[in-house]
Amino acid sequence: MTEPVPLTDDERAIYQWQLWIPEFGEAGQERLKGASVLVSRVGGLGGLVAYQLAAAGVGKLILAHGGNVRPSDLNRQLLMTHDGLGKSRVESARRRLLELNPRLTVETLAENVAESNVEQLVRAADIIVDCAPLFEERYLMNREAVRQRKPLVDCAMYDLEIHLTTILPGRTPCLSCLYPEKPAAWKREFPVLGAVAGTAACLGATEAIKLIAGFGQPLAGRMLIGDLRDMSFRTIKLNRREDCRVCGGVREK
Amino acid sequence: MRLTMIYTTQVKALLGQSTEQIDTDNLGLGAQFSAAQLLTALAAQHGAAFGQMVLDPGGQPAASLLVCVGDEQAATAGPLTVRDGDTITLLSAISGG
Ligand SMILES: [Zn+2]
Repeated sequence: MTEPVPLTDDERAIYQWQLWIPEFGEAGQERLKGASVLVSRVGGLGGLVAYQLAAAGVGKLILAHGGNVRPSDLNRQLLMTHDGLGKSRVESARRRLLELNPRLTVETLAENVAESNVEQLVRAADIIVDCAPLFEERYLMNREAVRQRKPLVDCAMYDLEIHLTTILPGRTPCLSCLYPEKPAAWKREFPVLGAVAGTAACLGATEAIKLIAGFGQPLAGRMLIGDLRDMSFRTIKLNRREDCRVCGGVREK
Repeated sequence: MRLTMIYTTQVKALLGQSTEQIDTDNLGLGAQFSAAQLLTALAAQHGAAFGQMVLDPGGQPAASLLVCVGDEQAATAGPLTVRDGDTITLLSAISGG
């Protein structure tokens, strides 16, 4: 999926503690360095995904998120800061990510995923982490990931609950298999705590790292559901929809 | 047959409860029933807003809802494969942000 890139001595020092992970090691780190990940958007969920991926040593992040930082972002969007209020969200994200990892390549688009940009955004990435709030954006990324046969980690949260699944086109159900239509009564603004968004984000980032480095078992065809009110976690086995309008008939490459 | 319903996300928020013990005999369901029949019977108890959330206008399970028996997503066509004591979880699509 990604071309490994050899590490420098500086990088060996920075990633020393994760190089000790069996099955990951220097080969896994080199794959992370060679990888490009699309994260959309970079709010409470995507911002933390991007931060963890930057910390772990992913080579390139492609970030799409429109608009400027608002006060109501600051309870959970940890890449946004008070001095960034009223300024571009992706620029705030870029600055904070490069503070953490100056070796990182960050490509930003100050727009949300849309029909006009999704093909190119997905084309530029090896893997997609979907953290978008609007189902329209999520369906677009899902459709394009399936078309281009790229893995997509689907992260979602609501109140104190999280849902996480990994879509491997042609092998697992896609988002449209699971939910052919968005909920009729969906509201754009919903209750959420930053720590809950961050939990979903750290789990999603871990999935992305595993997929890129090629170790562990992804949530393929399974959905992790968690309710942090009572800290209960379960994994649900999912079904593919043979007549899915997005992935019906698609086979693994 | 006694079942435990588990409500999550928006369904839980609407009902104000995350779990409920049900008796399918009391709900007027036969020995075999589909997901649509179960949800319709529950909607008769819980009201129109619940019905609109979990059922589409044609009376089938909403296209944004997963019905799970135990830890497996159930096929929504045909009768549900359930046994006394099973748990049925309703998962409604959620997103990020
Ligand atoms: Zn599909």
